[in-house]
Amino acid sequence: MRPAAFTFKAVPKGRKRLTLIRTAHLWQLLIAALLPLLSCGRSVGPTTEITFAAALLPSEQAAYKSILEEFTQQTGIQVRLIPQQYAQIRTTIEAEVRAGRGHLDVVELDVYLLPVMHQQMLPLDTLIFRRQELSRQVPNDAWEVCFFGDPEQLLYLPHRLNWQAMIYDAQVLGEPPANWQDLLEVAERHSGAIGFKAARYEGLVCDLFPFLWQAGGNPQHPDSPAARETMDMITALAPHFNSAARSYKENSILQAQEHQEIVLHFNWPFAVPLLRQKNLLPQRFRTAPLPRGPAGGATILGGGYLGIPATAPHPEAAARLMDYLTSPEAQKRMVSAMGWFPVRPEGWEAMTDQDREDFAGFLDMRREVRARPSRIDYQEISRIWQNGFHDMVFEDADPEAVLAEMQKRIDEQDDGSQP
Amino acid sequence: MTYTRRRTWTYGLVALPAMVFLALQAWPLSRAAVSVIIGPGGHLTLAHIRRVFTDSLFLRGLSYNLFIPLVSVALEAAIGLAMALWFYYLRRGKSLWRTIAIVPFALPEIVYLLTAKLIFRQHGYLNSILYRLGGAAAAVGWFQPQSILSAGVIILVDAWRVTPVVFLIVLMALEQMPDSYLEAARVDSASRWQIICLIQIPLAVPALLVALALRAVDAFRIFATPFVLMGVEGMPVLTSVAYHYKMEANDAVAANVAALTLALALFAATTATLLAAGRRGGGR
Repeated sequence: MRPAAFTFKAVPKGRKRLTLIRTAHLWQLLIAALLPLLSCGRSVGPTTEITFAAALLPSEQAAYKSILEEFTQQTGIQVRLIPQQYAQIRTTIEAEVRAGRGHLDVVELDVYLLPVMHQQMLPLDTLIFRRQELSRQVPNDAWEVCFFGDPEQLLYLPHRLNWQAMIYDAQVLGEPPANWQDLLEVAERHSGAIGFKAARYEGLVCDLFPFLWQAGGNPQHPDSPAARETMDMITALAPHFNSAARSYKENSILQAQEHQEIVLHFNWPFAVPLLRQKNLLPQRFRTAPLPRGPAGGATILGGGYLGIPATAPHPEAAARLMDYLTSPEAQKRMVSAMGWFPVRPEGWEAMTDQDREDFAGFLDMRREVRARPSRIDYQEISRIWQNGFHDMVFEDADPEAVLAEMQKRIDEQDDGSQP
Repeated sequence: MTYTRRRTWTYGLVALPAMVFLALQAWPLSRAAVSVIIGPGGHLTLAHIRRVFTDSLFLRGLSYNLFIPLVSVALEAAIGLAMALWFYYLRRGKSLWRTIAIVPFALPEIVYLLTAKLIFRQHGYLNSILYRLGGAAAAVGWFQPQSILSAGVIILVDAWRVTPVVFLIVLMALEQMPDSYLEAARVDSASRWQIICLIQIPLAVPALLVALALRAVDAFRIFATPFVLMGVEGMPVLTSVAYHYKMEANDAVAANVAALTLALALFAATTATLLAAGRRGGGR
């Protein structure tokens, strides 16, 4: 039996206190229950969680999450990061837009997907605060691809910029080839050891288009003297490609370089930290600008762009994240933590001297970056070049006839699908 | 409940998961089938099929998809049977050797394939040995695209991994064979070779056929081995070509044509195998 001293009747003050505590608890419960209702209709609140799909390498995820944590500390907005490949991000957006509702708030898309995906994205004009300021900071070619159709309607923001440079075996080659003639001489000396991403995918045109631009050509005009000159160069180089070139993609060509099966290849900046981890760069391999052609130097613009899908449940919070990720602080952190190239000049300040040495080939090409054609049917243009390349290089088809046929198909595209 | 009715119920229950699966597949399959014969204007067309069937990548994929499974399954049958007979007559360490033999099958596929890639790549283990033995001229392009040698490597790597399945099924059949058959043959002074050829192999054939039917269907769907070792362009097969069309070329219709071609080929091959097995089993 409970002692009398501890019964409620014996301690009236205590009972009063207990009633007060009970009432307070009831109020707390009521407030807790009402909070979600109060926050309904507001996309940004202290408990908002947004979903962000980005193409991150496993080695980049921890560093990137720490950048997002800083955003959460500043804004209270939680970010659920989903590392995915670009192709999967694209498929998910398409499925969500078709369904009329979705989970993705912010997505990162590869630059070549921007025109294709423009109808599924939310215009950013009223959401992004830094638009004017950013437009002054981002390089022109990289800024222009943020729009499609309507030049006033902002659809994307650059997240990180990329371009290709040459990675070469400094122990074998000594000096990298500086121009097409040097490249041919190196190829003849090291026949079978030239790397080229010749698998039929977007990476092929990333290796091919710079040659075209270096000759003064344009991917939309394959039936031109410059395109002919380019294909003459490529067909002269092709017999010296490594026999596995047909299956080379970004990662497999890098592995071939690591195994010293090739002496040089063209790749994106992601290769540098990976080679550094294995003590292969700068000890054995180094970076250099792409060999210059008759019309000068050129490389291809790549990189990740941020957008908000049309079905995003929290567009305002998503825009705040995009604002943060393009801010000078976040860009500096991306450069220092992951070795990415920034979208604004302040980001370069975070590069160490060692980085500048290791990325030297890339940095030398900063002024020679060119964007792929910005058109809704770009993927068809790319496919025409991929198939044409295979016909000319691997099936020994007559370049003149193939280039004329390619032009015919691009003209048909122009008549049909160009807005 | 009569025996016949009970048996019908049992068969129905066994077939139920397959029927549910087929029902779930019906919608996407019919959508895929429609997409390959409907043009942009909504009219019937064979243009998509014609486009894919004139693509050199698809045609190479189709030919490899016929060649690789055929040779691979034949190789697995021969080696699986030989291994089973050898293990049957092995006197010591049978369990140990059996465990070692199934290691390639027990390994995760990606680990096995990446190891195989390290062995056969241009500067891989095998070429390193050849280089030391005979200099640079002795090194071989194991993964040279469009060569018989590379197809041979793919077949070898694939067969090496899955032969233990055939071997285990045949070994089980051999071990379950009544001893009286073999003793009777020995009483009649039959040699070991005669026992193998005239008694054991014919009696193991039904088990071998089951193993090969399973493997044949599996071999037709080959994907990971050529994809990991040589990539889509290096050694195309229908599955990897369909993957390439969908994921890299973003051409869903072409992917559907490739996938449906494979599905139809598989359906034809499975039906033929089942009919042949049924005829052999006297229609039971």
